[in-house]
Amino acid sequence: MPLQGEQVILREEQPEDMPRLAALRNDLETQAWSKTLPPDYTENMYMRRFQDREFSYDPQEGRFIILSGEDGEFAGSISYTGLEPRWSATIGLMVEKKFWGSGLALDAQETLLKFLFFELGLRVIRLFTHSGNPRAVGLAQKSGFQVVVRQRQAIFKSGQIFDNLVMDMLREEYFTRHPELADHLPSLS
Amino acid sequence: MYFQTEQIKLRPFEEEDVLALKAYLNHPKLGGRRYIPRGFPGDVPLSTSQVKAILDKWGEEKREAHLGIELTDKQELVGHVEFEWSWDPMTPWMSIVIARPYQRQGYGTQVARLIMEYLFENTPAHSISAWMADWNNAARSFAHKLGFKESGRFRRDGFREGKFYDGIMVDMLRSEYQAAGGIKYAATR
Repeated sequence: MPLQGEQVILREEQPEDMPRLAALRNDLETQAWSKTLPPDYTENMYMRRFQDREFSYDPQEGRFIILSGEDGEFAGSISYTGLEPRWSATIGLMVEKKFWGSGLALDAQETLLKFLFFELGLRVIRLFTHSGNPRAVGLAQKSGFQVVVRQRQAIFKSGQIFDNLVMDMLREEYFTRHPELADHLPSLS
Repeated sequence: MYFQTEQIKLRPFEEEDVLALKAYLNHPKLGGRRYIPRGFPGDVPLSTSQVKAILDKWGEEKREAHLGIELTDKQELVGHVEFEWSWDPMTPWMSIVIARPYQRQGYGTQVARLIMEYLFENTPAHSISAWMADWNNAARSFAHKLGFKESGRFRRDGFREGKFYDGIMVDMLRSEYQAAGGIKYAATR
């Protein structure tokens, strides 16, 4: 059963998603990295990455395809990486431009956050972006993330120098924003 | 001369350093500030084979340098220093560890200035960053005295003595290094 949001479904990657993922990566506006990647990623590269993924009961990352809940259309990708079990992970997402501003990205983010806090029992979730991406900062703030590190002049892209931003959210902050969810994870402090 | 002052010399690690490295890494007061690769325990006593594995790991990374700090008059290993730049040589990181009996004798400052001089005078570094635990007051005041500025904190970076602690990030821009005197500042050894 995929993860179900209000507007989205987050499901596992399938072979037919690979051309769409390569296209998102090859658009400088949607590739969603502080480091600019060359727009030369191929469907084959993605297919190999997909095929090389090994079975594990102890994965350190999770990757999901975002489907629009209305018609099941491919809308992007969202993931967590660097999982420290019961502790922390880093999230990232990229979304098709036609869905920008629709609330779909926020719903995808909220759906993943619920999984990470409610199911995996994490204590803090982080994300990395930069000061030249106010859209990403705003999206993160809507879910309750705050900027906690501003590494000055650390990112160069689009011909400009930007601050590298680390944003994070603590477990307690998440549950304060979601009174409909009760937190039964024993506190450490 | 790079990597050397009258008192100290920065030199590559060799296999025969294993026991000296193990001895100072396992000092109980160095727990949580060992600056060893991820995946190795930060505070649990390390075996000889684990320390060998750390040396191997340090040796295999292409975009990292790990050097031993040696007293020139005694050829004694008193600590280690690393600098690395992941994917972006504009923003290298630096960390310095001085073995307990040799702390507070000015060796760390000499090491820091050697590395700052190397990175700013011989690489495209635009800034240098460093990380330390918020309880590590010695490291924080050391960084401050060198002219680094705090750029924020990774909340809940670790757990120690019954509570979470934060990771403090500091950085120094090339312009700040130059304003402080550049190579003349670095050469104040």
